[in-house]
Amino acid sequence: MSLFAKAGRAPGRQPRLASTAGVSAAEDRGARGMRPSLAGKLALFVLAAMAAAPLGGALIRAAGDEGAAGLARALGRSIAHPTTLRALAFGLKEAAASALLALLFGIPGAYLTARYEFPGRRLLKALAAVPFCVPPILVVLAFVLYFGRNGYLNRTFMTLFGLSEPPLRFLYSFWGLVLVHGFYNFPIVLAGVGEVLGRLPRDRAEAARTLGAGRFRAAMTGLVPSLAPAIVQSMVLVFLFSFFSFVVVLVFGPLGGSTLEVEVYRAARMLADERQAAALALIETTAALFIVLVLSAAERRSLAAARKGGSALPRLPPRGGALIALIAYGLFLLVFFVGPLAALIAEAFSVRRGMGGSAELGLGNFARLVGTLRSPGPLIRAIRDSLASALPAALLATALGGAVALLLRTQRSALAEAVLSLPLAVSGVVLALGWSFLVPSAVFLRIGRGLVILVEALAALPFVERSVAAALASVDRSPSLAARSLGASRLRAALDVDLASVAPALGSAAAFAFSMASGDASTPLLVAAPGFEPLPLLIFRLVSAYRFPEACAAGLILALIAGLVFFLKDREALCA
Amino acid sequence: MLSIKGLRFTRANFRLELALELPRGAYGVILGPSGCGKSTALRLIAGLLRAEAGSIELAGRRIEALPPERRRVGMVFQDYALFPHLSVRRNIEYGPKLSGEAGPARRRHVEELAHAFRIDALLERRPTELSGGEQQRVALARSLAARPEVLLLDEPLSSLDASLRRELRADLRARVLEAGLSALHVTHDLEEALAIADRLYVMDGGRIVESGPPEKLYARPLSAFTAGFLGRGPLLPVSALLDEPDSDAGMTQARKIYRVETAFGPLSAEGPLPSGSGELFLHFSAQDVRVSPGETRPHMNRLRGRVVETTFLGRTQRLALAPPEGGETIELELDPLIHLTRGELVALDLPIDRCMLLR
Repeated sequence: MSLFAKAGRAPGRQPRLASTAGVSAAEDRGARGMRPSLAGKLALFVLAAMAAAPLGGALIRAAGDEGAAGLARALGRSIAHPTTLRALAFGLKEAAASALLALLFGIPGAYLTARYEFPGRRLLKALAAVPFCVPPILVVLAFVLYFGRNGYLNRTFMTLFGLSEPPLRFLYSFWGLVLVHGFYNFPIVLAGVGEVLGRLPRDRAEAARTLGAGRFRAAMTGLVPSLAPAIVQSMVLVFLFSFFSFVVVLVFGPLGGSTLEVEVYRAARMLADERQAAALALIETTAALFIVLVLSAAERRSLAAARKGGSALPRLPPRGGALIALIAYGLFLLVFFVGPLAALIAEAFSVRRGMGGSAELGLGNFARLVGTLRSPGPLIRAIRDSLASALPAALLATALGGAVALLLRTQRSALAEAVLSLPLAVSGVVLALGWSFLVPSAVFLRIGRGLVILVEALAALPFVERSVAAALASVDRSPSLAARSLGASRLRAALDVDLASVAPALGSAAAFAFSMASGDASTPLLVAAPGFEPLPLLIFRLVSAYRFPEACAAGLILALIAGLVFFLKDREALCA
Repeated sequence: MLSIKGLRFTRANFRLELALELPRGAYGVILGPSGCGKSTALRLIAGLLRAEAGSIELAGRRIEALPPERRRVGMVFQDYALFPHLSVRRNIEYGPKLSGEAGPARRRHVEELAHAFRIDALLERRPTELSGGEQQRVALARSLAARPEVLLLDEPLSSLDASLRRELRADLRARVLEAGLSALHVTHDLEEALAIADRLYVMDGGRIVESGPPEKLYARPLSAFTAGFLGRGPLLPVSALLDEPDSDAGMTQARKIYRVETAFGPLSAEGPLPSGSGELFLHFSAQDVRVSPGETRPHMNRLRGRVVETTFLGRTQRLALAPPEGGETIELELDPLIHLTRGELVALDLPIDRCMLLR
């Protein structure tokens, strides 16, 4: 399964292999002798230009007025700066540790969902959507409330064991950061590896056993080589997400522990040193590009292995040790994954009377933020701002991504795949900052909100494009060809036949883009359009002011908006 | 010798009960429709599935409680299950390596097998670079390299095209027997089973319903299922037994003749009358049918019917024949040169001693 495709596809559905678009495209090309069309080349160029434009902005800003010499100086200064190397090393270290932890949490779940049939199995697989549609700011909030010094877990332990000090103090440390990233991203491993594991033919491992191999050796020979690319692929994706993590590092990063993503933001907005920010953005993107290239290579190998698999293998009812493992895993998820999210909901509805007063259930936190009809509170404005930016961003991403996928349907060469992977290497912060460099400040004040929409659309674009391309690849070409033989033009056949086939994927992609855009805090933080405060910014402001219950109330609204659209679109995943 | 007694395995809607004896050096074939439990039977013997009860004895050893790696049962899988990340050489030496065979002996062993299977030139290639026939030979060599006592083959020819399948099946049998092994081969392909088996096991609904040399099973099937599955000829439902069994003139006492009522009129069949409560059929082989326009002859059944359809099949023609008063049709294969027209009433002669009663 392609994790890129996973990002935009319905959780729990049959997988659509993103790069099978490339495979079937190659077959099509072979069969029809087609050369890449001009429109396809143009689409690739536009996509590459959109990804490269903010880097161009960063290059220009880093160069200053001195051209290439200035650029070299800025880059040299940044690379030589101890903060940069420290941030790069810290980012690599925390991302690697987070990916390993996600693997540790994800593999048991992948095995259990692939091998056994149990109530809630598809819901467990649907958790894969969480890292994509639960905004990081909410994760931060949930973890503070749950794992923080005064959080629910510590309070429970102190009451249960009569402790005078909170036993869990890891949150604001390197390991705290790693745990947050691990917990937040392990569903990517669970779904990605589980999907391949569920389809992997078991006969190779069985063959190894009949040849004299024990259980472990047989798994190492018969399963692991085919599974390795999927493991690497999901690990690299978690690595990338952790490497680009912004809000989580901003809040939980221990003293001296910062990533390049946060350093770019600091340089630009706190130190007002835009040349340094631009140079750091270039260094970060170069590092990320290497990771993306590894991801693409792993994805291709994973697809080759996955193709050899057949249809999903029958799953067994869990018994004995498997049942115990399943219950243990369920408890683990309940305590460490569902717990923080439940804490967030509980906090949103607990109203405290004065400082240190007792809490009771109520809607007071919401009421304070909603305000009155005459003077609407910040929540109403934030919802309005969120919808006003996320809806057009989702539509733009879907239209652009859908068009690019359709135009490149039969022309996905290795170069095209590389270009299509390029936007993944540009982080949200770099994207927002780069575009803001390109727009003159006088214009910026007027088009700030438009820029937020553009940047959020571009951030979602690669996921949308790959999701639609995967759906297109699985579409049977013969009805479209039949339409052509009945007199339809290529465009007409695409609109009448193909579009109908990929409509559900387009819907999912749009819902996903909406979730991503509505939960995005980094773009509004970086672009800072005057008077523009969408929900993530409001939450950020409330968290900074330690107004946690209200932040949770706003967070719940954001989760409902971001998550509901996504889950409504794919609600069948939750009904199984 | 492989001896299986009372092997039982149950899943939600499926129950398998297996008993069979495979003599040493014999090539056995389990034949049965899809879903009858053939592959499950092999997996139980190999230890890839755990049976709930029963015993498996192989070359004097009880193996049902042993893990697969200690049973000395080789298996060739339907899609060969070659390890894609290992070269052909490393695939073949996988088993000998695990059994601790020393380096030089192992290399010699692999090369001998590669030579015997004409895959010497492929040793350094990866399985993905091989054709279907080559993969089959590698899978076979790999299984034999582990020195099993018996070789199980799970539809090993099904992923090959028809002409290659015909070409390789004789080769497969010869190579397994050359290695001095017994083999148990699973297939749903009748022609393949008849061509390759020393001993045929017909399986239905999780049980071996009949077994024996293929010629014997074909000549005298004991059940309607076997007769139908071997494609011998029609099964005419018997609606009534008309009179008590009697020995007919020219027949010995042991061969009793039964007169039965069918949709095609009263017909005679040679005994015995099968016991049990299932539906009774009169069965005959299509090869024994003669189109007979003349008088009724002694020891012959006269079967009359109306031609519903004829289909030219090259060496034969298929005739769909309905009872004169209408009803369920039967199909027969006849000489293609006999001219028959749709709607025509025809009379067919069947030797009574070639008609049998089956349930």
